[in-house]
Amino acid sequence: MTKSGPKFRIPEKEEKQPRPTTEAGVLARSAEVISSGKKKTGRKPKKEPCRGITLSLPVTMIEALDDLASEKTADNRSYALIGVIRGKYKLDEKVHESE
Amino acid sequence: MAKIIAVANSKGGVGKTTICRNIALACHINKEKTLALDCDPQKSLEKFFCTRAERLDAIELDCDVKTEATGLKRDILHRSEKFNRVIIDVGGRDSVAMRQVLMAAGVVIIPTTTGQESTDALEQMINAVEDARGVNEDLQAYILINMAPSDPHDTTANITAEGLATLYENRAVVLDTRLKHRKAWLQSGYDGLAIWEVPSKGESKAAGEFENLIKEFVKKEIL
Repeated sequence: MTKSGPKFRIPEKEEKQPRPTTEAGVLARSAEVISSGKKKTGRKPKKEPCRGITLSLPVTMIEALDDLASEKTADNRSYALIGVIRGKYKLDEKVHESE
Repeated sequence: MAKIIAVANSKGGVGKTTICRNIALACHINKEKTLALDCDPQKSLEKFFCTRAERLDAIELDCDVKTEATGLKRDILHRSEKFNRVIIDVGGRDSVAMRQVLMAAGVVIIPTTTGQESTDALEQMINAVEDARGVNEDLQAYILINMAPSDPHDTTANITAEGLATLYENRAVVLDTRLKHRKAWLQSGYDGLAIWEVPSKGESKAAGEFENLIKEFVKKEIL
């Protein structure tokens, strides 16, 4: 059983950095500036591939693409297809046999 | 040359404005030409002095608002030429304005409560002070334990003070005086009063504690 009562827990120490030597350096370290900087440097969303292109594929290939998509590309069949076109992924041999 | 004293903490709700206005009024009654400067966008210090001016039907000391961070350091130094004491209230976050004030001030009083959240947040504030010392080498930092439990048997404030003194040795001084959590502080805000003006049945404990703080300031040549 732990003893109850007032305690002082040492706060987590931040990594010690050398003192800035300019006024701009002091201001740049404020949480306000740092947080606003993060917003500006956020990653741009990637373009979705194959938007607007309709491909007619055999059912077996679509099923194989679905499997590949769920396994390697977070359920995105378009990415899976591009991967196949670029030679990054290979579809199951059974698909080719059934063609 | 004016003594520029900032009351600042990147943590909100630790009693910065309350302490700031009472220090400014204490300087004023001690016949120092005092400027109370409100750099907090909430403008609580200005509101207090407006309430007080309405109550007294007079303006005792200069109270100005400057919430625009650009050029704030230069502005403070320029204004301080006409005064003996400049007491500055800063908003409770690590803003550009707070950093500008820290670069202009000679002393920063950092109020903190005994709560774990407040002591955890002190690390960020002490680092901001250290940064400011890069261009304002002589900046002195004092930690003031505020809103300490009023129970005389409670040891929380002592334990916190000892812990902070060890943790921030060479970076900030923990003041001996502690201000306790008392209703009079709230009353002073409502009515635009200095803590020693709040009516009390007997001797006001809050006023006594604040008087001790001012004595310690004088002894340590902060004021």
